[in-house]
Amino acid sequence: MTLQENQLWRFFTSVQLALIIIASLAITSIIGTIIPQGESINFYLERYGARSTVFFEILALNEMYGSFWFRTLLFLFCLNLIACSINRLPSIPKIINKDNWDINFASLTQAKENSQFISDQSSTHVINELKNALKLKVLDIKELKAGTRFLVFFEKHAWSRYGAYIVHLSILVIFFGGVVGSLFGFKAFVMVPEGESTSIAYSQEGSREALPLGFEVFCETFAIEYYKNGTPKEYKSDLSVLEQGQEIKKKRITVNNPLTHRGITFYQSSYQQIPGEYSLYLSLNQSVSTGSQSSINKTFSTKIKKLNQWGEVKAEFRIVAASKDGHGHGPYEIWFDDQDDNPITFVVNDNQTVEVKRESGTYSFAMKQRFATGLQVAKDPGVWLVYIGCTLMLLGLYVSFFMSHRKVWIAVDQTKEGTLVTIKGKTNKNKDGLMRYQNKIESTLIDLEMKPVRRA
Amino acid sequence: MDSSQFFGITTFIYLGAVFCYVTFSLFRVRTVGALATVITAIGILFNLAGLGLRWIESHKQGVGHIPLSNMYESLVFFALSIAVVYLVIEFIYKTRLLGSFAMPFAFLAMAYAALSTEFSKDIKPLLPALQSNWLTAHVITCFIGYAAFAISCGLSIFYLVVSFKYSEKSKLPNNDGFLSSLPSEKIAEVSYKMMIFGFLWLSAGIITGAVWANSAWGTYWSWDPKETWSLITWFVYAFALHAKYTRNWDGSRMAWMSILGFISVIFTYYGVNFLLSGLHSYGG
Repeated sequence: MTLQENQLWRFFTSVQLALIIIASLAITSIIGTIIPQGESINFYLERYGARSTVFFEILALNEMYGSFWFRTLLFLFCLNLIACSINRLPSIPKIINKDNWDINFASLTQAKENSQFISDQSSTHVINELKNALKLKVLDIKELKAGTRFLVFFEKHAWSRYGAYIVHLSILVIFFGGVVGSLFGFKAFVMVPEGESTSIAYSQEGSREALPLGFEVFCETFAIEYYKNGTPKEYKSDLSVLEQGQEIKKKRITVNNPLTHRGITFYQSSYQQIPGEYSLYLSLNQSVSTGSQSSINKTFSTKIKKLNQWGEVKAEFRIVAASKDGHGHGPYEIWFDDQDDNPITFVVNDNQTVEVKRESGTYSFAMKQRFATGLQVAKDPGVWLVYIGCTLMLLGLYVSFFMSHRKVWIAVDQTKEGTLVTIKGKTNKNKDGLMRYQNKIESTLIDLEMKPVRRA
Repeated sequence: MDSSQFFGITTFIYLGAVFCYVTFSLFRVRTVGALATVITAIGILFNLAGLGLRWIESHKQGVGHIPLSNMYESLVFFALSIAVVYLVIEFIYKTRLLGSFAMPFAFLAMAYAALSTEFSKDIKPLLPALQSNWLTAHVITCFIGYAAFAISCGLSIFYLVVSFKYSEKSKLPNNDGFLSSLPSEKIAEVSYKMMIFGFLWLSAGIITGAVWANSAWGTYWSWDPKETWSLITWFVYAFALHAKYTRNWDGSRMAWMSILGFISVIFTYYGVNFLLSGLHSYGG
């Protein structure tokens, strides 16, 4: 039994199957856009009732794009693509390498649809002029009758017949990239409070397990920038990467501008206020004996009523109250003490800086609500394959749609009336394009002072 | 004058162009045909000027961004794309008979943008997620594709009308002003060309969207309704192309596929924003 006779092979190589799979993918994909995906079971119970929910569960319609049956459909799609390509690909080189001289000269010159011109010059002269005028790299000339009868052949973009297969290959490369990504990569999420670091992220795929990153990511600050009208302009986090306690990388990430380290990328995804916790920036400016200024600073993450100590300058402070109205967003009342004077109490607003003059120098306080930044953490070693596949796809689509295999024969025959030049063109697609191309050749011949006998 | 006035004028210019194309098709007065082309070109200039002005206005408000960020702006750009793509095919195929079925889409898109109250027309600052160079690439590629699909759909309707008339009379009409002198195969061919042109740009649109999603969210594909519907549209056209190549589907079957494809385009573009929810909801 040959491959062609094998029932299974014939099933997989049939175009009907391709059409059925494409149609099924299109139709089934609609379901997941109507039924919200990946919600909790209570959501479906409430919205659709018990009966429908059971039905959804059985057919996995609540997570259909990752379901067994949808993946099977995608897998079948790939198998069908491979089988169709293997089945049809070998015929392409056969078409491309076909003997182009195997053509009847008499019927070529007589066919009404081929345009014909007449010239006073000898056929060898015409051939030379054609050679120069057409400016083609490859121009095959066959002498059929010594010095009087010639057949010229040239072709363009024969390889464009592979265009559709480039597209098919590109789809497989994209799928392969997707599989590589899901096998060797992960999608995870982690909240990092300001002033803290993390060395794990939580998987977003089923298990929700903690994944070790292999290094630490420290969030120095998180901030929201607003437009004048109050809508958010940018979310940003100042992140740094630490390996064995050493800072290796530092970057301010924004929504469209992530940080990547060792193949793991951190995206600005969300944020959270940490209730009752504050971020306090404290600096001390001192006049040094030489007349210049020296400055040291430290950022504290703290809670209300907690005593904070800044050992370096032997100062301590605590937030006595976080607001008058109980919302906790200021004005904050702060108690402060250092070695020089008596302790003092002062008030500072949220996101405001207050200066406190002491004997040893000037302290600046800046205080704000403490945030945690929400980071989407992704590792996807397959993404480059996907991008290569996408590039291939665009290239393949361009080749298969907008390039065609054009063949042109020019018969040059010296007769009693003069030298007859006949042009025949052939293409696998885009007849209009070929016609325009033939018209160009015709006007070249008219420029060479040949008279048209008939035009295509 | 502000940009919305420009868009209002553009709407009337496109309506004028449609009127001239239809008149030309009916009475075959060459000057009317030439006028239709000139009016379309003027419409394109006004359309472009309006978009340029809106861009400047956004900068004056201190929130400067390319005017491709919401439903209103995209509709205006959609109209522009249709008019431009149509003029190019008029130039390539040297016929003005297709205008009556292509330019109404430019007019409708523009009129809907100008008259609808379903979406905001204010210039709004860009959300953090939209602040990317991919925005421009993504919107332009998608809408060139959509424009080509719209024209393909218009020509398919033209084709179906012509072939229905022919079959009814069961012979070629010799003096049927509106429909004669353009063989239905020619219409089918241009419609098909628009389909493959659109398919290439739709693919580019999906790809630029995927690359953008990956740089903003860390995933190039998340089966969000907008993404999924763009893929469904892609499958519809892929189906049509394969049916033509391998099963030799004829003009009228392909015409129905083109109409179905465009319905899917409209749902991807419009329906998803207003009927379904997802990551793309700012599009409204």
